[in-house]
Amino acid sequence: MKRLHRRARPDAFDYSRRWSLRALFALGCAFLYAPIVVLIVFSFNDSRRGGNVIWKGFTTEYYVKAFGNEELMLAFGNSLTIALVSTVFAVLLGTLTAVLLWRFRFPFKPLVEGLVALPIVIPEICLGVALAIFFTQLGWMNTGELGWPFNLTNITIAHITFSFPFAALVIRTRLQGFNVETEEAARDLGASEWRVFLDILLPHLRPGLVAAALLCFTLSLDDFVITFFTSGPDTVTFPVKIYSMVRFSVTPEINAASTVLILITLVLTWAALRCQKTVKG
Amino acid sequence: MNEPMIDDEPILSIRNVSKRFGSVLALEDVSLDVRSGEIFALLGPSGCGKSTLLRIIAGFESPSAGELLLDGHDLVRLAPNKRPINMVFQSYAVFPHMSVAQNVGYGLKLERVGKAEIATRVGHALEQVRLGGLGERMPGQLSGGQRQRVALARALVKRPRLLLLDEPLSALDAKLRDAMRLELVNLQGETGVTFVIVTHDQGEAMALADRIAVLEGGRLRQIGSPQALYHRPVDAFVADFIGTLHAFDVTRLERISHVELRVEAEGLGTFTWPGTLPPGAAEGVQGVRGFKAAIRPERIAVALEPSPGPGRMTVAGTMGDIAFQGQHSIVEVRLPGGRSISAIVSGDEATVLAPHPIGRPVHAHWAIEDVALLPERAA
Repeated sequence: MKRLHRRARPDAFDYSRRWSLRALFALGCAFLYAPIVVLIVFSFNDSRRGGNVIWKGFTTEYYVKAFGNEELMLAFGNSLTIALVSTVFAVLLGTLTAVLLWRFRFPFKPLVEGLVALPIVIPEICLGVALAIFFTQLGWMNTGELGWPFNLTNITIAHITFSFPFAALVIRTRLQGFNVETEEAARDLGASEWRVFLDILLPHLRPGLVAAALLCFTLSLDDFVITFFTSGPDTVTFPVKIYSMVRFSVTPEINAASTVLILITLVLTWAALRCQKTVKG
Repeated sequence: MNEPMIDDEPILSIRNVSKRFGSVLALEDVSLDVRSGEIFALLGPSGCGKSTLLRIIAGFESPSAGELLLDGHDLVRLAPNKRPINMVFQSYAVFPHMSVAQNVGYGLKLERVGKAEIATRVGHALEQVRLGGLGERMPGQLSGGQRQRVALARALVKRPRLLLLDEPLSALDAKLRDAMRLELVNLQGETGVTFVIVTHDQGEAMALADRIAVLEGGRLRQIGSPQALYHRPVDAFVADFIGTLHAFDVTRLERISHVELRVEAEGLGTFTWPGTLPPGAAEGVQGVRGFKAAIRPERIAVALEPSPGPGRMTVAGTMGDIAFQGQHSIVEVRLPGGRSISAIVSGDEATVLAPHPIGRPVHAHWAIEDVALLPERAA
């Protein structure tokens, strides 16, 4: 028995003791995270002019500068507004779509399912161009004179368009695990369809809704291609603004702004994970 | 506690109910009455339509034809949430995000019962199903048996006219099943609520129910008390479903006198049977189709030597396996022609038989009056 045991294949922990695998793992991590670490480190770089490539000393000056940059802050505010509004609508629409596709049978259902998933698979550039043409035809491209936040309408609509299929996908996955008998039990106990939705289905969906919202928010916050095509000269979002700044010069200010964005994403992810944990009880 | 009140007044009348799913006829012209205060079981193999009938009573399906009356009032048009009927689901369907007390109180909350009264009634219902003090637990922290009790309390707290139970014991392990079976009977007596139970397990139905309806292929085969179904089955299907049955094809029937028939059956030979010609049987015809001479295993005795007695018939065969069951043993007797029958014999008899090898000639015998003459399918 003992001999057999010794000859058995190494388990997961044994593998982690091999130096070659450890090195490979470290390499993988470096590949994924080193650029981000460099970005964050160089946001504190005290480089005066030119490319932000050589370490010159520590400073937080560029954070002050970034927060003082009105255009950048405006773009940042725009991005947050768009992300917030589009997330609300995308999750709402995604939930309705998911429930529709899960619950009901109707003619051409496979076709509808395919169409809903379409924005996920078609190249962003195509969707961007299509939306740009669409808004131009409608005369919604020059929303600049509408005043904040209504000038962001077309970008927000574009973001809802590409993010709600993701929400629908996440929520539908969650629906697969739903015990239909709990719904019938609620009906049996006297609940109307609407109460069943509020009391039984929605609580079951909550972790899915949180995950979907987070996904939509992140997708919206860092979208460049589609936003680039649908934004006017006065409606600049954070990624578009950074792009235009990079075209002039890469200053630590950009690094600082990006670091703030990373921080926000991390906090949101952490909050979402906590939400899901409390739901599980 | 109150004695269970069983009277002949039907609380639920099912009249000529049919249900069609596309081209499949799940229920065909089923009529039955459930009496107030009884435990009524719908019994049948899977796909017999029993669950469909339960879902029709609950309101989750509507019948394609026929009517449903609860206390004389039409039920079909009532939505499931408006019916004074509650159900315990097979999966229990306990709401996972609500505590035990919230689960049980949910139906009352929907009725807009006051908070204080909800608390009292929930507490009482939890005591009834022996879950007192567990109100604050979440369903995830409960065992399967406890979850079922939550589902029971949740349904009973509404004081329904009818409690429907879908396979209430099938998900429990053997020991728990016996305890729960007793508890369900007690609970019914305590509350006086009429129970309708769906099950595929005849043992469960026999032990629980006051009356059983046997369904097969969407049709009602027989309704009666467990005793009636066991001792006076209408046909070989019911007899075989309620306990084990050895049935032999009848090939010839002949009337000897008013009270005696000469019966010729495949594997049994010819014998004189005390009784009258069963309805639907034509006398004397060669190859009478659709009739069986049937005998229950507990009526069969096994002997090493032929021992013909008055009023007994003997079939020669060879010894097969003996399965020890504790108080009794099941002896397999292989008959010529390849079929075998099982006999339930006492421990003493088994001790006599046990030393003999498989294949030894033995004789199975039984009283002729224990043979039943049954149609294969009652019309």
